Amino acid sequence: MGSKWSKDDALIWLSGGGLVLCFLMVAGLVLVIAVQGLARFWPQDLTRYVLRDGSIILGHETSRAGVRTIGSAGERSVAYRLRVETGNRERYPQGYVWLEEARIAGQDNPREAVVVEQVRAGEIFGFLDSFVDDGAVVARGYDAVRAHYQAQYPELERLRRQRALSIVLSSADGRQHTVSLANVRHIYAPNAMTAWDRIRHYAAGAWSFLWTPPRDENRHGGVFPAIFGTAAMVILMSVVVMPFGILAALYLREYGSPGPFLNAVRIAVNSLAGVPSIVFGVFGLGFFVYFLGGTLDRLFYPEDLPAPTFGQGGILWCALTLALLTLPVVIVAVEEGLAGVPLKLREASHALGATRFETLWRVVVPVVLPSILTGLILSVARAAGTVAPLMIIGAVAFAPELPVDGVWPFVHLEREFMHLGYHIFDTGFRPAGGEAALPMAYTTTLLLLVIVVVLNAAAIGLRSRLRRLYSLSAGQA
Amino acid sequence: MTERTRHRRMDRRRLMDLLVGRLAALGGTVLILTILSVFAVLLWVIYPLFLSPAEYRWGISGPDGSEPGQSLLPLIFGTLKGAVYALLFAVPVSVLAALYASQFLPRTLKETLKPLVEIMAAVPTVVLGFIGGVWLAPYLASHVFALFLAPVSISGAVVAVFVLRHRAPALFRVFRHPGREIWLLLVAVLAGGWLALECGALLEAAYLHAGYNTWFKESLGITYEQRNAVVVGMVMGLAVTPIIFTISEEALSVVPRSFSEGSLSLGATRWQTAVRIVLPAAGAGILAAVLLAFSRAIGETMIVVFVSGNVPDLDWSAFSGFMALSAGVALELPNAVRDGSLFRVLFLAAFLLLVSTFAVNTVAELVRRRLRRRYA
Amino acid sequence: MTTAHGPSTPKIVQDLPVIDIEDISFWYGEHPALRNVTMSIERHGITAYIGPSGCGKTTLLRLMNRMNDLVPRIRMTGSIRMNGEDIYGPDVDVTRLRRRVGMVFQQPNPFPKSIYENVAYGPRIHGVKSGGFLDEIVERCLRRAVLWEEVQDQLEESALELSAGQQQRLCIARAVAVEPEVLLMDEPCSSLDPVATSRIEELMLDLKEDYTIVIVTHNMQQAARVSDFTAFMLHGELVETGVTDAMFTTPRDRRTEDYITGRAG
Repeated sequence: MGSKWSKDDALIWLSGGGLVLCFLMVAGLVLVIAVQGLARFWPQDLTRYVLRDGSIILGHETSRAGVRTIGSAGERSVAYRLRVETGNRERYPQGYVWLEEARIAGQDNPREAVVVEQVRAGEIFGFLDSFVDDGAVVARGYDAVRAHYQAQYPELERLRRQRALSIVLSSADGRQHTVSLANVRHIYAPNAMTAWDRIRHYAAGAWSFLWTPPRDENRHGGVFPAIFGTAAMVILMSVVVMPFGILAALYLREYGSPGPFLNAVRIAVNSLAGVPSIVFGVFGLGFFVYFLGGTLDRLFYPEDLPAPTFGQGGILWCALTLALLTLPVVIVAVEEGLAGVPLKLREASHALGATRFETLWRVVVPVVLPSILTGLILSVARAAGTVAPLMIIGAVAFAPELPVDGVWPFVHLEREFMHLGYHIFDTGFRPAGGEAALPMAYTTTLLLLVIVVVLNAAAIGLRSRLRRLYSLSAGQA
Repeated sequence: MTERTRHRRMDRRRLMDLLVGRLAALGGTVLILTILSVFAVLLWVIYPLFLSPAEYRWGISGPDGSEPGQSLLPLIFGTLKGAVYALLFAVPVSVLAALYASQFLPRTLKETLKPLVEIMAAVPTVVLGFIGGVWLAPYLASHVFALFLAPVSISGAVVAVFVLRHRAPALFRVFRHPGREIWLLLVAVLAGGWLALECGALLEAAYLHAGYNTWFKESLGITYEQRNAVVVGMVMGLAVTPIIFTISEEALSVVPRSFSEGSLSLGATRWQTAVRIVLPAAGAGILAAVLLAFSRAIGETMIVVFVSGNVPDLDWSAFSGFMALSAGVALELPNAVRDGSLFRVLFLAAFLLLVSTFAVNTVAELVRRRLRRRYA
Repeated sequence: MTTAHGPSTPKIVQDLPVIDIEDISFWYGEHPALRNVTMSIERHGITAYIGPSGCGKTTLLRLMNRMNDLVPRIRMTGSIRMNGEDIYGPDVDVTRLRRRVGMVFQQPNPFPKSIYENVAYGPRIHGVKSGGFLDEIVERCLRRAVLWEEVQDQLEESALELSAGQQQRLCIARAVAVEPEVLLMDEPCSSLDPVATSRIEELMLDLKEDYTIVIVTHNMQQAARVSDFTAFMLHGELVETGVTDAMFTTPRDRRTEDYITGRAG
């Protein structure tokens, strides 16, 4: 290539730009989710802002924005302001304040500033003032309170049931605030933390995100019930969808004889694959919940009526609806597997006097097994990411009871449940906990994204290995 | 083994064979029943609407007057608006990308690309909707000039890097290897995006007095809503891009080599061959891809729920929001009284979605089948 | 037959033909593949079908164990009798028929299982459960197919690891394991090299002591080398049939002569 080039080559190059742009945009969005979702557990330094009017605010900056104004003489200017997370929702109901940079006289990061994670009502930022044991002050000052708290910590559970323990915090401007230890989950001083402390804090936060229920209107805590609910629903769905999907694929590829019925089944699969998920939700509400559920209630739970048992949204109906939704996914995957089994293998088996079923069971199924697994994985990924139908039938923002527990009959198919995707919708779309719940929504989104991507990558890997295997055995023969 | 036990065993084997065959047929029957019952259940719920006077039929107002008027017209409009904007964004980008991938990308790179596209297609729409509504919409609302500049600056940067590479090949020796140019493209697109942001900031400093809302009012005479059709177009466009890309790429790849070889032998350039011979030959497949993407966009729920703003207006403006049928169903149905008129109207909305996607999919399938027959 | 799973054929006088093909015509959809074919297959001999591609040899072969049943839209007239019993009769169990009429295919098609499992497959589906007995069958059949020496140490390895010639001998061992009376071979050597081909040919000569073998082949030398009887087919018709030596030296039909001497086909 010299310096000669034509307009044509430039156009080719430009079309390549289209390809790259698609990937960059998706990568960008994923990056935003990853950064926002992962940043959540990292302990951020607390800054003490001293304002010109003398008031003092303790918190950490989350963003900075410019506001344009025109002066009286028409001159343009930009004023920047900081959005500072303040905690202490009793005093700052929104949980944050806007600080014009012009109003800030000075700022520092005091080592003694602590974050108190409460069970209810969010976090409080402040300074440790004293430790109160049944009304008596037993320690005073940062070091003493900290030492006392840490000494008591192993027995805290027992002690706080026996005595009224509390910690008095003083806020940055000196106001006192008493927190009962029964309401304290964790106390830490971010400014004094070493890198190793921060990593441990991060790991503990990530761990509790996975294994604890949400607290404080989804602002804090974890998403364990949503993970559990999603898993339970998906398992239930797989139990329904796999047999039907496999049977239908067998019919389409193995047992069905060409004719109008086979064509009808083929058309049904294609149509089913094209139905929007929300329509499945509406169908699920009309058919499963109101028709089937209502009938079940009349037959088996007449004593509870008019309060519905199965006649309302629940995990079973969601699983069945999503089973319909993912049926084509399973069928297509299994069909692809069946189509890949060479005719010569079937013929060999038939020539030895095997029936169609024996050929299927002993020759075809072992070869197709990875395809069936692929279908299962893909349908699970699809179900974990599908939210629209669940908005109509059965997923809820907060379900205190899990669908599986220690109470007879242990599996409660009629219960409403939490779902990761629905949880994102709920915390992201109309957060009951206000904007303070958004970081949690980011983390949940990241979790869901990772689950779905890992499942799909596994399915793709499995399938490509399978294809290589086929081409290998075909090449040898 | 005696003859009798042998026969008994044979009967059992044949019975098993028969049984599994019947079960498989049952699986097929369940499928047919499912799709039929989806239609039947929706029709069963909405047919009373058609017994009531005509003005209630499309949900213009509640027949019993007890519920607020629910008109489906703005929702139908909104659904179309969202789908059109999504296609406006997705079709040029993904058809170009498919053309590049099928005609100019080395085979090995194409093989690594495919799983990436597949994973892109698998990203749950709730994730895209969430990030679109919560992050992208506010971000774009404060970078409108950059948004305007981006198409120009990105293509400008891509072309500039191209020209530079040919003028000073020594600088880009690393990227000479076929396939590595994709990394160069990546740099170019990123640079274009960065350029748009920087120039946008300069323009803001020069022309913006008091935020974009005022600017839009004063300069263009329209209101800028944070959640608007452009953002929906971008996010939903991304959601349907893998569909268009995959199907068009497949259609472009099955065009016989002899076609393009004939063209090249006549002295046409690679680009001329791609655009004048291969693209028209794959036209039906690309049409099918666009139709399928259109039907996906119509039925898509979570993205419009998050990003469209859910305001039932009749306004084609790119910077105003809308409400789609699917979002209406998803958001209102949980609050609708069972068998009330709102309930039935929402079922009607779902039925409209079902019928329209069914029709569009069928047309797309027919188009695809014709293409397949031609090159089979 | 002494084994528990042996075929239960009634003893028939040895010199009657095993298979009688009577006036068979056959169509794939509208396309005629066979026209009024009549002939019989002699017991304990090798019958070779020769003829150009598409003359219907393979179709005829596949009618003898009803493999064509799996093909949609076919039509057939005439009858095929095995030991006097119509194999297309209403009471015939196809799986039992196929067990009595084994088949070896053009391309080696071992199952993607171990060598052992490939041979054991047939006996297993026909009800042999005991491991020791199965081991015996596998060894005997592999020895019968002259493969035992080569694979006895790798019985649990995948059959796909074998060479093409070994795979084909494994397929023969697999077919022999269900103890058929007749062994149909559809161009068994067409995908093999000359060395592997000659080993299969030796094996065929060895096997005819116990089985009736029907082979379809493109290769006239092969037919001349191994077969006792030869049938020449052309355009779906049976042109000539007879003892191999006689047919190759003094063909009765002009078309046969043209084909054998290479002037046509």
